[in-house]
Amino acid sequence: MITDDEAGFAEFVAGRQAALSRTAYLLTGDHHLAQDLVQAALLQAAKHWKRIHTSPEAYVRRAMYHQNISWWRRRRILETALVEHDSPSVAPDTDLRLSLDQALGHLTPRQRTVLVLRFYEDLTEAETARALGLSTSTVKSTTRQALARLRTLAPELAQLIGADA
Amino acid sequence: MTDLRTSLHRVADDVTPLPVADDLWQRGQSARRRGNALVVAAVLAIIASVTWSAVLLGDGDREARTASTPVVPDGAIPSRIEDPGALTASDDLAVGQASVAFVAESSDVVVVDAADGRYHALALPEAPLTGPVRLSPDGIQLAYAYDALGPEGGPEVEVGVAILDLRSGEVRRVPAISGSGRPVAVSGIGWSSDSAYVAWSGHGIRVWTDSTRELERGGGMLGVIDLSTGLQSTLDSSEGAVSVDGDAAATLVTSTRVTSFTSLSSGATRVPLHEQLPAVGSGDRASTSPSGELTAVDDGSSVSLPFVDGEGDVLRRSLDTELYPDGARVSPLGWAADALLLAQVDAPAGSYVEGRHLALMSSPDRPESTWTYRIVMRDIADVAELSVAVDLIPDLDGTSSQQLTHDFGDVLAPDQRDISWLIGLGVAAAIAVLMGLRWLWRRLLG
Repeated sequence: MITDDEAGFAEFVAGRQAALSRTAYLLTGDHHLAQDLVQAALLQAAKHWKRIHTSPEAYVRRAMYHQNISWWRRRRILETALVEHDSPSVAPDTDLRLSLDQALGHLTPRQRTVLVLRFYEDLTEAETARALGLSTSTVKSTTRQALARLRTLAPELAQLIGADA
Repeated sequence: MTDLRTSLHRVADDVTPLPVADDLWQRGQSARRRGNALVVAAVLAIIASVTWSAVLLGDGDREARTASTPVVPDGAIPSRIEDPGALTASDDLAVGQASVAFVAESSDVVVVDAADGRYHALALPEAPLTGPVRLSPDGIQLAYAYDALGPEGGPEVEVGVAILDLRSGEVRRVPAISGSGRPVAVSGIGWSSDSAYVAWSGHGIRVWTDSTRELERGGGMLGVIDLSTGLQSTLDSSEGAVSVDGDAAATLVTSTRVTSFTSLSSGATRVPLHEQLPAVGSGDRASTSPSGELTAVDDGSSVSLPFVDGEGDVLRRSLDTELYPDGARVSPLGWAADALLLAQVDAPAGSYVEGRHLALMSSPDRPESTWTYRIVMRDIADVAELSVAVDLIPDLDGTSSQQLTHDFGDVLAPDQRDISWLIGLGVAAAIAVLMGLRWLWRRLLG
């Protein structure tokens, strides 16, 4: 027998799955990671549904932002040794033919997340800071650094990014 | 910037909805239940950790033991009285109701907490090294003789009776001054059974030198202090064993007579004793029954305890020769009931109960067939000025198995150190373990 809570959760997933998938992809740049990210966030939502059922989307999105940064930190620890021993030195700055999608992949998760929140989710700096638990000044500086890095990685995207950004 | 926003939307729009597992809801609910179980386990772990710490501290060797012993909220007489050795005397005199008071070998005035059995050495202001110290029957006040430099313009030395309220820590001083204005050295103090009055006995001081404390005795005096008003009545009299009843009537017993005195207005009566008590002198203990009819007196006898009434009659409560074939020294401490005296008994080797102990005994005005003799406590340390809050002794139920005292455990750690920091450390360690478990849990669950 399906309870009201379970029905509400199913309705939320069905209605917002596509939007959440888009955000998750922009955050991770990888379909598999995005799928995992959406599932992990929805799992957390199911766990705390009684508490969040009045506004589940804000909770799920915040869970995705934090989960992505947390995963990235863990992956970075695990992958450091492989990079050092198995890979020749990577010089991303020399690759000038990156698309926006690929260029985003060379940002740190925090930079990428800040850009997604600011320019895709259309959050203000204050809202972004609140969502990520950062200060407004940190959001400002992270945005500035992220855009500068995009310009360095892909000069042909400068027109998209804006010269004074 | 608009182009970046548009481009991001274009990238995102190419993403097809990502499939999610069908059992997310069930997995979420299972995780929630596991989380709740973990919280319960965490709380149990904290409780177990703290309990374990307490058990460890209370069950180890003497060095590890502390005063974290069971608490009796209404107070109880401890099952043992030991000399605590060198305790740090505290200026904080608000230690709460006491069950026992005495002067330890270290000369410290020590009280035993009625609720938890802990020993407290008190830094009593202006308490002399020697002098009477008496705990009230309810265990809330401590009366002692004091001497101090007198106020400017008054006698050079101020002496009298100080009454310490063990709940508030306040000390009330009642100067003892003879009719001629000379200070009086207090040698005996007695409480009424309702803890409302204090009677004292002493002698005037004619010469007092600060360097030697030598003095020349003047005449004797008797005083009664009403604690509700702070007023005092004094009477020039002999020095002797003093007590007072619940009607503020003081009884002073000397070797040859008994004096009854309430106040100057109601006067005093002096009656010769029908049996002389040659060994009764200043500072000896006396205790008047709640009804005021009998006053038990320590006369140094080793075979019986005399009880004096207002008519000068002396009734004797003989000691059982089977218990004490060589006699025993009995000193009255107070009345647990109208016909039941608590006494300190010092018995020689070969007695049924050797050494110092406490006993409840019926007064001799009751039929001998109804007499009771009950050992309350054994193996009491050789401490001076022992007094007991007799109100804490329960009414006898007639059975020999009735517990009259409470075993607080070994409350005498070397320094009775405060263990609150140990408990705090245990709780902090438990919290640290739980935080670690939480981190591990989240790590495992991703």
